[in-house]
Amino acid sequence: MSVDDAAKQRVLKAGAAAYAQAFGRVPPNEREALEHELDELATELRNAITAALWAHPYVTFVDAVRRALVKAV
Amino acid sequence: MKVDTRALQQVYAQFPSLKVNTDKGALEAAATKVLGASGARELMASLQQNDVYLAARSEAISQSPDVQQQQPKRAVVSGLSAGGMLAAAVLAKAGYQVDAVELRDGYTRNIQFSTRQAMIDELASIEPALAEKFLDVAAHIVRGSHSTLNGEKKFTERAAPKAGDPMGVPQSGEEMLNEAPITLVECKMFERVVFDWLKQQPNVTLHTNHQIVMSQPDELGRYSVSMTPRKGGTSVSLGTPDLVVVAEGGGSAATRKSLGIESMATSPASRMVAGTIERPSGGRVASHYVDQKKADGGTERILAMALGSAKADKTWAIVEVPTDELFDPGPNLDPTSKEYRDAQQSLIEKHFRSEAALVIEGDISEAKLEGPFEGSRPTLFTLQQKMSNKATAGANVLTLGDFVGTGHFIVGGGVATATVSHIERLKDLVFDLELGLDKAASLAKYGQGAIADTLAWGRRGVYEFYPEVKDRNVVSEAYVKAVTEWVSGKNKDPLAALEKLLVPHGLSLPPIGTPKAA
Ligand SMILES: Cc1cc2nc3c(=O)[nH]c(=O)nc-3n(C[C@H](O)[C@H](O)[C@H](O)COP(=O)(O)OP(=O)(O)OC[C@H]3O[C@@H](n4cnc5c(N)ncnc54)[C@H](O)[C@@H]3O)c2cc1C
Repeated sequence: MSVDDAAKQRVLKAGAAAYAQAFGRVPPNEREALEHELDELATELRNAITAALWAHPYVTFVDAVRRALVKAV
Repeated sequence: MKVDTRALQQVYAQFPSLKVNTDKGALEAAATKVLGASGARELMASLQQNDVYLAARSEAISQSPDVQQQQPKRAVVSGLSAGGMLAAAVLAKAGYQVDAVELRDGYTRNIQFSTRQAMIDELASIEPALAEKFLDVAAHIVRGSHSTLNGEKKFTERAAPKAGDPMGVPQSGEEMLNEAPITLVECKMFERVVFDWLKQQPNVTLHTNHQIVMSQPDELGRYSVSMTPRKGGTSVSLGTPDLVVVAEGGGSAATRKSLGIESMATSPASRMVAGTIERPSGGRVASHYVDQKKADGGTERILAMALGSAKADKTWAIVEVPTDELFDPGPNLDPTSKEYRDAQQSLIEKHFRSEAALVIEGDISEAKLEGPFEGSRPTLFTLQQKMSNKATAGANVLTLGDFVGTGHFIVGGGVATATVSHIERLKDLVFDLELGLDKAASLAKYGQGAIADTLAWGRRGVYEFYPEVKDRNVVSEAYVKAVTEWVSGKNKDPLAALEKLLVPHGLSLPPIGTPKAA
């Protein structure tokens, strides 16, 4: 894994954990609906999610949240 | 020639929307209905001079009692930023009973808007007191606007704002955006001015902390509306209003879905960090561009912009983030921990501070930072132009502002498109309905006008996403063609169509299968 890929994975993990912690559920099907939800959040949580969404396709993010939720249980 | 203000009062009693509409053509059409052809001719002849007309108009308006109709028309407005609030104001003055619904419970946005004379004129046309209060909270861009591209500087002075002229309101987005911005105003200050005024209107009921839910349309195509508290609770029916105005901004996926209105990206995406710096600017707009190398060897243009109202002790800035920047604090922290997120936030703020310093042209290393909302921190957001395929739904719904679509913030067109251009279209619609014109045709006319206004905003800033195409007009024309064809169903993806049109002009597309941005 290149340095960049490892960094991308960390950013993904951070964003997914932030979403799982804030909402405790799988994100909506559409990215637009998710972005709308962010208005409510503390800035660091919101920014962690936005950074992850930039670095990865939406479905990858949703999968990562699923994994984070399983771990949280 | 003496003006018969009683005749004018009679016209306003039957066409109350003319109290917020200074169009003489509309007045003549209404006067012909109320006073007959010769009465209308006589009235219009007496009102030829604009100053005489405006004086007679305010006298007639102040003397014509608000008509208490037995069964007033009903309207629901959803989303009470400036666009929704002015829609509520227009409808209330036109005699509608208005329920105005807003998700938030207060006005806290730190965004600073650059606005044109058109905004002041628009407010004056609705209520002179609103224009005066706006001038109290807005400030002249005293120190003009500064722009730097790779070290090359340009400076433009900005004319001072004048008192509102209700006859000066531009009639289309194109015309409005031809004016240069001259004032800066903090979003929350502007919103509070309009909200406080709306609170005093007897036929407006404000519901904050609520959101609307649309029914399926009935057999006549009319949507019914109910309202639920934001945090859950019992919903209340608002019936089937004559008009529903949706002004919920760009992100309102749920309402869009229930109305069957599609929205698509019309530009690539870029990331920005937005926030404020506790440093007064003296009233200045500044932008800073620099061309930077990317990891893949290409070049990208990074934009930073600062707006500082002379009436605020802080400056609002928006700075672009290079494509390759991930904001990862490194392998030493657990990505799921708060420490990681705090370190990530620090990186974001470091980038924000250093880019903002370039536009502010000063040392801001110690200055206090805040985010787009009171109490928040500098925030990452995705900037991407969007368009809706229509601006009306069924037999009673119209949409305005960012819900219709968005453009680049560099144009400073968002708030003005919502509050001037779309509001002018709404005035026309309400007048057409008073005149007894076909409602479906009147709504269709509104929809076409509103889409054209938003397109005018979008086409002006879209070149920002394509610095490799040297001729801005080429990008602008391609944008209008690609989006118009999508709206009329002639292509399925306006962004793909736009980029195809730009390839012969120097745009290099990524290989198929490689997303340009996530
Ligand atoms: C960082 C940034 C900088 C900008 N700078 C400028 C500038 O300098 N000049 C300029 O002209 N424009 C600027 N804009 C654009 C401008 O903010 C928007 O174009 C403008 O606010 C659009 O107004 P609107 O009324 O359509 O939507 P919004 O201002 O988005 O308001 C929508 C309202 O609807 C409410 N709402 C949302 N969903 C619901 C729901 N379901 N039910 C009820 N209420 C709901 C929201 O709480 C909000 O109050 C900027 C935008 C951003 C993000």
